[in-house]
Amino acid sequence: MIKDGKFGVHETIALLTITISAKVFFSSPSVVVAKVGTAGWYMTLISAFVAFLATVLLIRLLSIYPNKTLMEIYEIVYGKVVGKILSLILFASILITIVANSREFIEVMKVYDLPQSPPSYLLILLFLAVSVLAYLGLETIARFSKLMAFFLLLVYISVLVLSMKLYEPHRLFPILGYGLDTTVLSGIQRSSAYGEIIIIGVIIGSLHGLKHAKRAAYLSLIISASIITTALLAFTLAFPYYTGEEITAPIYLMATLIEYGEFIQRIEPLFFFLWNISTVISVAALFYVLIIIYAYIFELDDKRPIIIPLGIIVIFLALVPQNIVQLTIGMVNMIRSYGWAFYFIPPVLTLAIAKITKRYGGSTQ
Amino acid sequence: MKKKILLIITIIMLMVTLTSCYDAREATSVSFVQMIGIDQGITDKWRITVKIASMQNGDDSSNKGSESSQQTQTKTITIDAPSFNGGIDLFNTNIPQKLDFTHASLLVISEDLAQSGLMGEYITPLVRFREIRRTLNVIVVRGNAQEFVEKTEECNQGSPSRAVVSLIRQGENTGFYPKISLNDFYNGIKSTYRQAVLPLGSVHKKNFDEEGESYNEGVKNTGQYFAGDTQRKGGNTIELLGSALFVKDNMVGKLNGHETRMMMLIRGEFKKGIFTIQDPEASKWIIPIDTRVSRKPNLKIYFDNDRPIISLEVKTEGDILAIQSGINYESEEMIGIIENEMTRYLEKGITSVIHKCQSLNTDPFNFGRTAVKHFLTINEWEKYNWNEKFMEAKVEVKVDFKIRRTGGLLRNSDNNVRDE
Repeated sequence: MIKDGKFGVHETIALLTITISAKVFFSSPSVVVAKVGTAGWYMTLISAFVAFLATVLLIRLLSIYPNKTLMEIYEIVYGKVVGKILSLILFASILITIVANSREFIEVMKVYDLPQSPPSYLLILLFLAVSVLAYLGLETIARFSKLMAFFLLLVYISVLVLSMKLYEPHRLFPILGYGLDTTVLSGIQRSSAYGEIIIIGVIIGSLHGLKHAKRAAYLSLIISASIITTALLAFTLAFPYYTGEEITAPIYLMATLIEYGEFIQRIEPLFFFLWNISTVISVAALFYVLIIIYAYIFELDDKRPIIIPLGIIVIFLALVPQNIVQLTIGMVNMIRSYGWAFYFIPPVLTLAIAKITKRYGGSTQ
Repeated sequence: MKKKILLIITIIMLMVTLTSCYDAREATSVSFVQMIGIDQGITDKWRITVKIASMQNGDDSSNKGSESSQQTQTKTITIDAPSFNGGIDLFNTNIPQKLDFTHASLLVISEDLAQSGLMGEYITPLVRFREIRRTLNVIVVRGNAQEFVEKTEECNQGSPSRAVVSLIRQGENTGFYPKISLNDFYNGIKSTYRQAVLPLGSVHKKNFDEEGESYNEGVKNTGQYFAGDTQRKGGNTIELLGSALFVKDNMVGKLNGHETRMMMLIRGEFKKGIFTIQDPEASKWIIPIDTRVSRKPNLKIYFDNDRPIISLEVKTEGDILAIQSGINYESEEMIGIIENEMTRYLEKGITSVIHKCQSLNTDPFNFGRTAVKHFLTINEWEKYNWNEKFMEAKVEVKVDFKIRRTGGLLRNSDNNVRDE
């Protein structure tokens, strides 16, 4: 039987930050530029602020029900049937996110680095790594996240610093992009980019109390927002809005343009470490959360037998999008635009209903 | 026992997955393309020329480690094809190794193709192609690209691609041509802030006059030629000098080496170069000055009823390299005369190149990068259409020039002064 284990604030911050930020290395920055033009780098701050408000309410909900996971709270507030349906919605949201993230990773790898390898082969390799991590449990994933976090941060900062030669400040102008209204609306809509923060409600049992969960949630949101904002800012400075929106993997492309004489060039293999490790951690964390929710819904004590079947299901679902357009413009864009409704609305609504009905701890008080 | 079986399975899986993957390629099964030339085709739409490097002894390992096995040979192959990628496949009907573009360092485009208005159509597939890096250098050549790529073989510096890339880097020391990457150029042809510009190259024409009367006319500007036209004997067959101007993806004109320097000064990309001015006190003689930009140009743009007013201030400095007349310009009272003359010279050159570009309706100076700061939204900016409005712009140019050093001589003694 896998034990979720216990880990501290640092591990949680590393786990949540990597899970949230990994997406910035794929097509998301281009989609942001296509939507809001030059304003993408501060649009994401609006998204982070909305996600922060949702997290404050989520933490409030968790504080009303001490030592309870989000799924348990749903059952207490709505009863068993509706509670399970809401857990199932959360399960579906995370499943779609994993499917989209894994396939996007594979597609980008195929475009830039492994064009001959079939997607199924790459997906199997990815899920081998993810399954091993899931097999070893949440604590291992969290501790591995912490172990890699400093290295990943160092590589990320190196890429940003080495790209400085590409930065042109005029590319931030016109400063309002396609207009302030578009930026604010898109910012609110794309708060789903930080939607993975919801998993704090699922893994709360592995943390040392609500105080730790609160600290970890807020700090990881702040760090993730900083990483995503700096990545978008660097991207906006390096590519003008009219060509920036065309690029499949902007941050990778930025790394390929780094050139200091004949000595420092072609440093993108360094970027591959950042890319691959962050994706494996991100997918593994979400995959494990998926297993927790599934085990909860179907009241299974042992999570181990679920890993391989669920992994196979995810691989097959990831192979469903017919092409990269269907994936990025359709699936990924849909998750980023409407994911907030599935990630943030249920807990917020549950908090409101819990406050109105005063149904705390399974009985009306 | 269970653990041992698991370990064995893991080791077998690692052996299978880590040995290689679908994309693994041996160095001997690949031909690395060094240069790409693109012309308009005769029997098909594209005429693609590639210069490929292959190890001299292929995969023969008999003399492994010897010097001869390390030498690279190059071959130039040209093919007509309906598309760039289709052309690559056609090349592989002739070349046993797979063509690999990841190490290509130069893209050569013919002037005809550049002027056809189809550059976007030709460039986009290259930008999309994963093997071509956007750091690839791009040049436009007079004549055809095929000949230019072929003639790089005759460069006297080992590998042709290394020689050409070094030549492109030399532009930084002279300012006679810009160094433009595929990324810069692609951004340029789509830009709302500016228009694209590319360095101009050519196969050198044999036009050196060995005999005739001695030159007896005024002082010519250094670099007042286009590539291929310099009066030269010997040296490499190819040369770079001047630049090609674009409106979107269509080449609309050229700047000679001198005009390109002025453009580079305005862009703030001029590092250093030698300007030769006429001696203000003795017009028969010249004064060469090693010139550099002392500060980034100060550019202010404001609008008068939609008409842009551009105020440009270029700060330069330099060292005197020679005073043929022997006049003591090094003295505190006289040094200002050279500074004023140089200021006039640069102002005239800058104004002239701006007017030339305005008449061609192209802004290669990146003025739009400053103008955009006056606009709040992309819609407003695109509606204003800087690239069209630049033509009507009023440009005020101010140059500041200071002499910093006078070379190995602190002053000319009076008895060295030559007659007019």
